[in-house]
Amino acid sequence: MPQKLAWFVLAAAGAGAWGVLALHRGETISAAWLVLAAVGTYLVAYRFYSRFLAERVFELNDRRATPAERLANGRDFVPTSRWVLFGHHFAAIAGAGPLVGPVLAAQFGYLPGTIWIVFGVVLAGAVQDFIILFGSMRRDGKSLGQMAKEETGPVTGLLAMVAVLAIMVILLAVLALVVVNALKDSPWGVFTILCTIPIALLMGFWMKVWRPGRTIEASLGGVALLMLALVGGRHVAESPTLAPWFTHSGLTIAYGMIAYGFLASVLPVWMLLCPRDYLSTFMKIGTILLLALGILLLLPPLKMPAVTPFIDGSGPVFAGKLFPFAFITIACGAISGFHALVASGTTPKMLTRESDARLIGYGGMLMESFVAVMAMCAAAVLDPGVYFAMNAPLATLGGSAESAAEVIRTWGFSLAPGQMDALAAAVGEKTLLARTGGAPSLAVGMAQIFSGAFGQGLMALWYHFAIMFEALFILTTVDTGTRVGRFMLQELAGHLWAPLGRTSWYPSIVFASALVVAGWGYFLVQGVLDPLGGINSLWPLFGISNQLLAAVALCVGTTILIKAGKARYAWITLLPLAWVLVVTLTAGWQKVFADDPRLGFLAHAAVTAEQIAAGAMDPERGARLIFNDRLDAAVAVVFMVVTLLVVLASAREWVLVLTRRKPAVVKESPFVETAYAG
Amino acid sequence: MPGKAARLTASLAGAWHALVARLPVPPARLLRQVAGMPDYAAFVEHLRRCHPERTVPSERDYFDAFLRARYGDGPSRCC
Repeated sequence: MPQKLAWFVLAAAGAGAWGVLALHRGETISAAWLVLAAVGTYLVAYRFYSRFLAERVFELNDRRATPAERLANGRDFVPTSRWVLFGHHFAAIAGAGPLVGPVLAAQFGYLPGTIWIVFGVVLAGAVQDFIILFGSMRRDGKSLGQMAKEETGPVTGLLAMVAVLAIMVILLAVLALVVVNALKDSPWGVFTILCTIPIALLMGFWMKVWRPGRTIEASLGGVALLMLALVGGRHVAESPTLAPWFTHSGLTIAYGMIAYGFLASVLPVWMLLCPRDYLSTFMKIGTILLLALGILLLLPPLKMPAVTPFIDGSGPVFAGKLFPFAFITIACGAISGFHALVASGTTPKMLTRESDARLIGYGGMLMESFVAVMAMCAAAVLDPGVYFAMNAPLATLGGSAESAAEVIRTWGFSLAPGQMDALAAAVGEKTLLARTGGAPSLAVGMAQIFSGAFGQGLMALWYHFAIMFEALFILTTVDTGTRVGRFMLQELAGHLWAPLGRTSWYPSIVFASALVVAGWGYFLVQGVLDPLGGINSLWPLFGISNQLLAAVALCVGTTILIKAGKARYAWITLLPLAWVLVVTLTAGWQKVFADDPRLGFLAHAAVTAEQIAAGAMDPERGARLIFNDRLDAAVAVVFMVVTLLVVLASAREWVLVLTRRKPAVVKESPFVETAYAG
Repeated sequence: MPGKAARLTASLAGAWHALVARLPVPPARLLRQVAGMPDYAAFVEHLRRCHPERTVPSERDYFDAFLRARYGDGPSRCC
């Protein structure tokens, strides 16, 4: 009884916080209400919905030995304590996605994004992660692609693999663009990030050559050196002789990143990739804990309105109306198809008991959603004028602080004269105008929270700390992603010519790496040269592709449920699947065919063609813009078609099973009784 | 007051030991498992218990094999 009472109080507190959010629109309120509403909803959903999924739908059984127990090899199949595995799984799923998406979506105000982050995760994102983790755990840790192949057929498996590869290319391009926009003309940032490369090499040689296997020593040393590089960056930026060496245009940084991605994919893992992986894991967990502590200590007021006029689609950060674009922009915090790859990767091989999957699959995703809520808080603590000055494209703002202030006034927000210059000086940058991509706004928001909570006057250091932390793990995604893309490409190419499929054959490594790097590098350079800043067109493409991958994962989940004879519970994946499909197909359609040239790729191409005809644009530059528009449109169409094919193939399978023309048999590994004491 | 500082250090050390005692695994192993690092001691333990007939590889060989298994296929982390 007292327990029931406690849950009632908790539910009431969460509902009350939502009430406060609803009633205080147009006033400044504390971030505490956002945090309370989110946490209250998570706890209630975890206690009731995830328990229903675990006990009634999946029937998790602790008498059944997990792959970690049956196949224990002390290497990848290792029974791991549930809270430790929770941390590991969280570090693997959390990345730049949940941080950047909410910051961009803040152009609609903080409320629409927060509602989607919180309710999306509870009903869709966490369900997807949980069911894929469950499915993979029952199949010896098989990957999403393998499960799609076994449960729905080889064509679906191949389609899923092509989809993953295509998504990877767009993902890497857009994340690299976020880093480019944060580092251009910033000697401090460039110096710090460049230092991570020798630091990683040093760690690599330490772990591999000098003191084999001493990964913790190497990582602690690496973190300490990183902090030195961060502090040293200030002196570089202030030195008139050194600063020019580290001041580069966006295009130079983009080519540098492309070269880096290629090297990271070709060099042995121990040299660059593995040490960076450890470094960014520790930085990520540490910084996210620090951010949570900062928000809880400071409880900053939210200055962004709950809802802005830009829900009508006229927003400067990205084009498109609240529906469907709020749900595309915030991909990772609410539902992320990419997690299905992690949940069917290392994590299922480490579960000690079946029931642990509930905490790790469902709970881990709730935690990621909480990171997205914190990112939303960090964006909303900025003055709206500052937020829009940082995130609108330069072409819209005009070149100077004065013209930017004028433009922002016409949107109904204010920017004091000198405010942007003062802020740029405070964080040690020359300018913060038009730094699209989310990372700089998040860094300014985080710097305000950190310096408010842990000591004033360190604004510049905190800002560059935040930039370094984001760039560090985005670059880790870039190098691991390029490598993974290389493996997938090699596997696909192996079907055409067998030697190309040998993952350790050097010509094949170089060929496949170059192809993957050229793929995302092309979109990256296109984004850097784009007059509207690139994020405008690439981020929606990324959001669409990530959500479509979620649709593929939810299809696999539904197939597993139906084949296990649980069709009566299939709504738990079918409802989110329907929502994700409606949202992404609408967004995809609008991105391709909308009449508004700010929104539709083809309409933009048509407008550019008119400008060329009227002599208002350089024909060569115009032709390139038109080609890129058509390419973006083609990519969006391919994503939609591949996903629809997977959905149709799955639906056919469901009908066959439900009409008993095909036996309802799942390809689970056989039951083995656990040897652990009950 | 040196007594006060010593008492503070002692109570901090006490709190640290209490925390470590409550951890599900020792702190070094916890860091390793969270970051997905190799754990040679655990591997040797596993070999001794489950495959006593096999020879125990050196820490260097174990590390190489671990990296191959960990980064050899499939994505292991997200955006």
